[in-house]
Amino acid sequence: MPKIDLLQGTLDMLILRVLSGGELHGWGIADRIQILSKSVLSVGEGSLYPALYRLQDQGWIESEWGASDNNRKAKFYRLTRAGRKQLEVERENWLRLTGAIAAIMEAS
Amino acid sequence: MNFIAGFFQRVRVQRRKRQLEADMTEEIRLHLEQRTEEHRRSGLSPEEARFAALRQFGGVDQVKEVCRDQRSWAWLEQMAQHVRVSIRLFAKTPGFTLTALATLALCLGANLTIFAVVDSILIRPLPFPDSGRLVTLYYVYPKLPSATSGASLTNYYERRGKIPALASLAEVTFGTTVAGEPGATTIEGLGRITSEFFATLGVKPFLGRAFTDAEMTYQSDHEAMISFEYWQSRYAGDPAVLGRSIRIDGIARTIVGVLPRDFRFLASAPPIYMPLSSEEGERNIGARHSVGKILFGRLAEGATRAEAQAQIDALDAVLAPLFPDAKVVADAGCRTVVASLHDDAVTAVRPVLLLLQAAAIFLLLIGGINLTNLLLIRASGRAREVGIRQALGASRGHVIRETLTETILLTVLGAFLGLGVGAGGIRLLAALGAKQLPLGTPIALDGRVAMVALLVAVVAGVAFGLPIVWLNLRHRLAVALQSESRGSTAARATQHLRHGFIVAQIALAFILLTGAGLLGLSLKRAMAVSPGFTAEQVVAGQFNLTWFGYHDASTFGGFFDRLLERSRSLPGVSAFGVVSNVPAGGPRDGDAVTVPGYRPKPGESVSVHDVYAVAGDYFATMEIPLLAGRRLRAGDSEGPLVCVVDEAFARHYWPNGDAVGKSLYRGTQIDKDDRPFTIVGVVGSVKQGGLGEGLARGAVYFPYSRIFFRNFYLVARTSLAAESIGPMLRGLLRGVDPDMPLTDLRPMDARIDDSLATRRSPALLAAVFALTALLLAIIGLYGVMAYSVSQRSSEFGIRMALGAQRRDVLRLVFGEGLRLTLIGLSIGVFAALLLTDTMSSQLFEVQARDPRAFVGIGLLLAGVASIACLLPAFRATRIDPVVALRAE
Repeated sequence: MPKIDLLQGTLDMLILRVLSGGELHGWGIADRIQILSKSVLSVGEGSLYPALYRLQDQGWIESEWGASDNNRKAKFYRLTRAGRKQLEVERENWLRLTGAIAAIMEAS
Repeated sequence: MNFIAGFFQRVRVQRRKRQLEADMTEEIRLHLEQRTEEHRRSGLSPEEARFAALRQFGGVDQVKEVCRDQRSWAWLEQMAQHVRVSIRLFAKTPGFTLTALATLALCLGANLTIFAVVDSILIRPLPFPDSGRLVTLYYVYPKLPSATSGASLTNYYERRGKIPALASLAEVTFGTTVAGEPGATTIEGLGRITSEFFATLGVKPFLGRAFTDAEMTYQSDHEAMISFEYWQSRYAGDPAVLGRSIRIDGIARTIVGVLPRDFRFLASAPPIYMPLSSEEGERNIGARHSVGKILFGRLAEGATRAEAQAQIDALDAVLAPLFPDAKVVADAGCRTVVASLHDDAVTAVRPVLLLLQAAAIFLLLIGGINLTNLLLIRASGRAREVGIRQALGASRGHVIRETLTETILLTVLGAFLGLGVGAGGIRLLAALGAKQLPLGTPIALDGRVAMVALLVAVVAGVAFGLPIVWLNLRHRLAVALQSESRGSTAARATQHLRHGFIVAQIALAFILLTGAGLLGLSLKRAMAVSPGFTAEQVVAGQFNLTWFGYHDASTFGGFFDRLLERSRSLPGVSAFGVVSNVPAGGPRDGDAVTVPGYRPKPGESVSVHDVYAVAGDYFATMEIPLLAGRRLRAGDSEGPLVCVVDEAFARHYWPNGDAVGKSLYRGTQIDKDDRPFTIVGVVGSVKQGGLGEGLARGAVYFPYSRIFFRNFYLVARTSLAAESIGPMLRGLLRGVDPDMPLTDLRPMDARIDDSLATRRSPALLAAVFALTALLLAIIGLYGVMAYSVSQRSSEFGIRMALGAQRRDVLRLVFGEGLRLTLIGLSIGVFAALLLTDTMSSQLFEVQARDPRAFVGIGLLLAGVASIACLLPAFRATRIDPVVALRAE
């Protein structure tokens, strides 16, 4: 199955969604997106970090150094309260957008 | 995030910047380690695993750069960084930096100087509250041969309170008066105003009160107001000045008010104001067309100028037929114009100011093109460096921001220097006669102009930066890194761009030079005009006969008898006379006359002529030639009514015949009792309005006793220096009347010279702009040609090695320069043909498409451009093929 590149601006939402399940480090986020999307979506791993820095700057996520499962040093990201709210907003927008597009595409 | 929080965040970010940078590097390193580990576990060799991880990740440095950009305030850090780098680069190339800053300072300074004038005169509203509602109302007579317009006292009294669209109405006239105590009198400017003058403008007196309606007659006008400045200088700002007495024209009046500081009505700021008093005869219907005053009003709340115009037209329609000479007035096409006070005041200067602003903008364009060329050449030299930096992770945005920071920094610095140049320019303008402009507010470089300067600088900085951005982004990295820029498509494209700039510069310079040339030609034509008299060795000074001292024929006659008697004993004075207005002496007295038996041509209306009162040997003093008959002489002040007319007058009424012996009446209404004046002589016409004046409107000279003027000039022909003749003439006047001051004493040639100021100053400024533009354009052409020769030196080396002669190379380079010049000239001629028409109103006896100006400027430009091309061309011929090819 061919992989699909992410739509512009959706990466932030996906990161927020993945982090809503608990704190996670950079490569973990990339892995999780791939697993959850059943390997349809490919995330350029490099592009993940600017997004993380952006979200952090906006105060939607925060980070802390810690140890990973295999006892490696890693930086863990988690959602802040503002981030949770933002996720709701983006989820709603997304549903409205996809609903609207679907309506157009399926109209005869 | 709010600003304060943002600031503290920034401080923290600064402190933690290193920490963050280390964090980021560490995090990415760990990420790659993790992925490498995963790939190894799936069976790849360590080497392959590492490459796979890197492929998966993308360019590490690019990612880091994007990450850095994600922080807020990152742009500010970056900008500070760019500014630091730019300053270092500028400091490294002082020659370039100084040239660029000098060009910018000059071009922006010229623009700011003119813009400060345009702003204070055309853009800023008049300095009165809600001044957009102020309108002026005046008659125009479009079918009269000479332009006449104005309002009369009758207009004021007939219209006041009758026009619902006008909340208030006021009238004013400006003149001079003799003020001060006996023995210490001076001539001062005087404003005569109606009661609502200040109320209409929305100005309250600083002290005391304005005049009342009851004070508008000669029997009741015992009051005066003085300006703030006069109050400070004459009364030392004494707060008890109200109620004090001031002698005006020999009559004591009471000061009732002091005006606010800096009060001025358009171009006039007299120190003394009096009621515009009048008697019934000056207000009634017969005086309706004695126009010479300024009538203005304030539109009522919610009323428009169109409504006021309609109401005035309706009132005029009722009143016009009642005028005794209704047909004459109607034939002249008389109607009332309601115009914005501000627009009307600046009508005369608007074209010349806009013309100069356009010239300054052209200059800026040419200077800007030069600068762009310089910057482009500089950027070509740095193309490799930029290419390498892009390869190492600098994003497009980064390169664009860096370039724009550099150019904007340059233009903003230039703008600050330009403000300095502008301040000097404004001082220069004051010397060139800017004070005569109808100023609302004084011309100054203030925050407003500085803001405009800054805005223009930023826009210019972006404009200068764009070609460089284009150059940098166009460079394919590989091309920039592998080859010298020579021969690459980007180099060829920038060369086309540079050539396009040269063409534009030549075209702009041609337009500017042609405009300046046309103005200069007009000035030359105006200066070549004969004034109709000999101005050299004549001095003229002004004096007033006050109503108080001289109100009947006997006091008038006595004064002139004594003056002329005493003048005969003046040493060094060969001729002496008195006239009511000298040529170029300012506002002139016009009047209509009736010539019995003259039948107007179809469509011709009544003509207004210059009317003078003369005494003594006025014509001999001025050396105005006598063409027929005789001059006026002493005995003419009594006995039969006689007058002298000028050539233009005689030719108008008697195109084929002799005017001497014919008669004329003053005015257009002739009563039974009126007696005609007999014309006893015809003299040459003089340029009453100064040398730049167009058509002469004809003149009639009456003996002083026949026409009661109060303002006079005495004129004396003398070989003495002004320093010695001055006290002598003042003494002469004081000897006749101790209270009579003589002012404005100046040689006639200086007056004539001043009458050209309105032509000379714009022509001079335009010439300065045009020559600067020529210089910049030529420097630009030379620079591009020289650069192109240095870029192509190996090409010339090959050509010569293959047998090209030196003159072939010369022809190649020179031909290219000439081709660009000729293309530029063609475009310039075409554009100038379209543009110079707009300046027709500023030209004097010169066509807007004067072929001599076009050809002359074209040859000048082509000649100078040839020299600018020849120098690099010669250098190209001196290239040694061996050296040039080795340098490869």
